[in-house]
Amino acid sequence: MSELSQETAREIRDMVFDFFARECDVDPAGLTDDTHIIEELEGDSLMFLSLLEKVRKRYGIGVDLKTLARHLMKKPAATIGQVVALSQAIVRHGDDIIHVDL
Amino acid sequence: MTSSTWTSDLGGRLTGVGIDAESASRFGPAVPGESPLPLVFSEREARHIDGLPEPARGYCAAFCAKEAFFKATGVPMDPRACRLWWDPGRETLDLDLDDDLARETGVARAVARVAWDGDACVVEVYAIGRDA
Repeated sequence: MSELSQETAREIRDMVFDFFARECDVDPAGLTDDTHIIEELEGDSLMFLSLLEKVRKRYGIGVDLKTLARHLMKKPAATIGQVVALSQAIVRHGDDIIHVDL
Repeated sequence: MTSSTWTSDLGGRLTGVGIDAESASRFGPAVPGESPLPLVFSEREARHIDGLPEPARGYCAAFCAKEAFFKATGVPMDPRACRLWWDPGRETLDLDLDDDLARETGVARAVARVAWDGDACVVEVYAIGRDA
């Protein structure tokens, strides 16, 4: 399993923040790691799937949705910071994410 | 303490109920590379839905049915293992489940009821147990 470069980790972080700012029509400067996606941004599963597809396309990875769903049942990603960490883990680990303790 | 018993005419023991709602407008053209539809729908499902008079409504109803099924059963979402062959002329349809999913959930039959209010779709899924 390869480490993510700082540049890639930063790029994923920016991608997640930009995505939610655009999708939820909010000022990116108002978003923080602690912003709650459902309660504060009214985000939902369809939005999350769109982000996942964007990440998959950008980094050419294939992650099985059922595997990811299993992971999320154990460790939900509710805030933007948690989705950043999850997205970085998906790029780094792919389907092995089920074994990763974020 | 209050107790209640659910009965239905679906021919079995009700083991779970799930509900989901979405707007069909969210299933229209997406930003290139960001459409979640390929993650959720097989090519066969996409062909079926693209052949409907209003594909966005078809994707919306089918997506809600998948979400509602996994809410009803509480197992991790595996959207391609569960399909709604939506027919806009019908309010109630059976979901088409992969054998593995039916085994894992113990569901013999899952019935989706699709209701619309303008652009908004609400789908209720009733899961019927295999041991009924």
